[in-house]
Amino acid sequence: MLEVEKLKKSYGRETVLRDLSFSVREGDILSILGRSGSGKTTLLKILAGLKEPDDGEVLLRGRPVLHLPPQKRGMVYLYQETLLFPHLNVFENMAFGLRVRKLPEKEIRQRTEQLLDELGMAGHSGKMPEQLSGGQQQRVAFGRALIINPTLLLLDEPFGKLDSRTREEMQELFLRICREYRISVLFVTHDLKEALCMGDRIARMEQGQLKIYAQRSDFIRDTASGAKKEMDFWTGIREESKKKNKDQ
Amino acid sequence: MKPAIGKILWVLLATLFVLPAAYLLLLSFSSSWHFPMLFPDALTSKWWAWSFASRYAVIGGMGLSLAIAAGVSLISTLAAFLSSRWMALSRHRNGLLLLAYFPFVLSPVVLAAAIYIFFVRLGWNGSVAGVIFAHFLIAYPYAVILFSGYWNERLLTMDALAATLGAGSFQRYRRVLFPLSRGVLALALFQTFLISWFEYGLSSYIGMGRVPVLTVQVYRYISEANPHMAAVASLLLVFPPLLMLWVNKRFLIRLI
Amino acid sequence: MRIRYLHRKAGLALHVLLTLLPLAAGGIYALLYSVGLAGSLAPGFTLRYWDSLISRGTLWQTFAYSAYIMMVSVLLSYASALALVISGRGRLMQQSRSRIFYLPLAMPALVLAFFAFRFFSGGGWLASLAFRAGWIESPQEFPELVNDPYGVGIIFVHFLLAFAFFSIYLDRVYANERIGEQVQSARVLGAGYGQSLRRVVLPMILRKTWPAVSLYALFVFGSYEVPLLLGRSSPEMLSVRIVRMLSRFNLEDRPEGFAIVFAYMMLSVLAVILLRKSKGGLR
Repeated sequence: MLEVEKLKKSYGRETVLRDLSFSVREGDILSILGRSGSGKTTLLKILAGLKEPDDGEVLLRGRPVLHLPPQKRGMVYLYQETLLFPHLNVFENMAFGLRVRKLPEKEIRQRTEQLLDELGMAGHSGKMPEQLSGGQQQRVAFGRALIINPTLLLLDEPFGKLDSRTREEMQELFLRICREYRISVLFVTHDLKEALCMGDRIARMEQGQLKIYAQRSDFIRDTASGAKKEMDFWTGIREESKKKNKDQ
Repeated sequence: MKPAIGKILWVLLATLFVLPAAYLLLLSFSSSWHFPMLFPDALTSKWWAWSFASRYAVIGGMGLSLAIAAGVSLISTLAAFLSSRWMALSRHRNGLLLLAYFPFVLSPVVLAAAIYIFFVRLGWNGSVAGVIFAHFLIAYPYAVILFSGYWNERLLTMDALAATLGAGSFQRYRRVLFPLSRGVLALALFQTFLISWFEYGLSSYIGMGRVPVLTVQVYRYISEANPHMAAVASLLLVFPPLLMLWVNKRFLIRLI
Repeated sequence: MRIRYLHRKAGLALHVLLTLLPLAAGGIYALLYSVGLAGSLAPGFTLRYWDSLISRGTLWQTFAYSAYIMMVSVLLSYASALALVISGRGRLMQQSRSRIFYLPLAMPALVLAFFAFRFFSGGGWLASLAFRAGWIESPQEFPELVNDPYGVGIIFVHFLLAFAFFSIYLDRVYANERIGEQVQSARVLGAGYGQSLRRVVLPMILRKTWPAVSLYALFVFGSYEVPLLLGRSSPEMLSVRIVRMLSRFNLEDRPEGFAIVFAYMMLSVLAVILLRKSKGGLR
């Protein structure tokens, strides 16, 4: 459903994207791993229409989209920060996308309330963003994106600022909802474990190109991915503690 | 600071700051007040009554000033809000901002003198529209400089997010940018209003005396040696800013 | 696809036009006029207007007098405000009575100049007081405080305006930069009061405020209403002189007036560029 062909982007002499091509299937979640500064964010911004590529083509369901402004692409870009509108309450933040589409009031109410319920935020609809906890803010930010049925969700390290428990909760919730609505997702992270548990497929961004692994096992086997190193680390600790137990 | 010295200092400062307005108020109600009188011989309200009469167009001038200042403030705030946003997104923002400082530091009346010939060619001299445009030329850069620090990364990102959520450019201004910027917009509106409201040199030069805004009237009464009417017009000139001081004193802190 | 940004580009082009065009067009016209190439009675290219301005010393005199008024009023008001703010430890404006500092800011320069004239002139209120006290016998004996060669009246009005502004501004800087806390840590490290003032407070405040102070000084340099009412015809401040020379129909005065306009514009442009280039200056 998303096809990216030979995307190029450079800032001055620094090339960020080098003939980057890949595709995402309908309902797929693609995790993209990469170091900071590897061009992950640039890629997402180009897809969302917030930056222009130097060259290349992007097709969404077979239709070229690069000439379209962000509001006409149907892709929602979510940042690490929730960026809830501080002047709107929870309900209005969620309903934002419906309001700008000028849907009838009744439909806005119904859809927003349903989603609030589903995200476990039904009791908070009148609150202002600053009254919410980090996890709750994240839920609202999600709901605000999901409510417009985006063709593609672009997530830029969305859980990066949450504590580890809330983070796991959000990962679960997120996976459940994406499966339920069959939303296609590009999920950028620098966390290996998160990439593995969120993505149907995993890709790694390096030197302006994207390497997609057909299977998880391929990813783990690739030494450059760092997965093997990570596993060896944990295995090492396990062996060590086993050995200690034995010695005692 | 010793308490006694502190108290004396406050009294001195209060006298210094309050004296001009108090003196002008008394002058506006005095039937005559000249050397070597320490106080006016009698009080009268005739100057105020005259200023409301049609022969003395003070009230008319106040209305004209209000209309011009309101127009200038609205146009320049709106224009500067838009252009400062575009600037923040531009690669050349530093250079573009620098340009705003040039008209900002220049004496308005000298600017008026330098471009007067073009106003004459365009037939804008001596007209209200010409005065409004000339005020806009100095109020706009001021507002641009005021807004320049306002467009931070967070605000621009929120704007971009609203776009990916489906809001077009107009919707984003209406639903996100304007409501979020109420405070800074109010500040710009009031301050550009004051720039236009206080301006004398530019108004008299471009208006050629045919656009009798309040400042031009104050000067006219002073040069006609009618201090009482000049005091009335002066107090009318001070009234709106005093009102602002009462509403929010922050509105008054500006560089010119 | 670049078409999406077209309105933004057009808007910015308009910005360039609005800020640069008046200055450029006015500056070029002034230059052409001053060398005899513009104006209804232009004699053709000549440098004699510039020559006469420079040889008679008018140009220098006008600039020097404006610079003198600027330096004295800004230095005086800045120093007084600084002393006040430091002795108040940055808590001056927290007091409700501090509202009086905003009063001068609500007054246009024209009105304050009018007040100063009525108050300080030979026939004014102070002179009346002196007469009643028996110090003078006629208005002529009262010292010249307005329309005087030293610009006492002009400086008074500028001082009043700038002192109020600087007090509010410096007090805010003192609080925002947490200078009080810095002084405390300097004292803990063994600095005396004078040393903490000299090594902490003054450098911090000066470094933070000098761009705004420079801009303020430029406004005083070009001020018009105040010297118009309180100045005399020689020496004369810049804006007043320019307007007076341009409104005459004398064949020599207008081109010379435009020469001063051009020189002043160049000086302003230079000042802005210097302020930008200097460290910690304009953004």
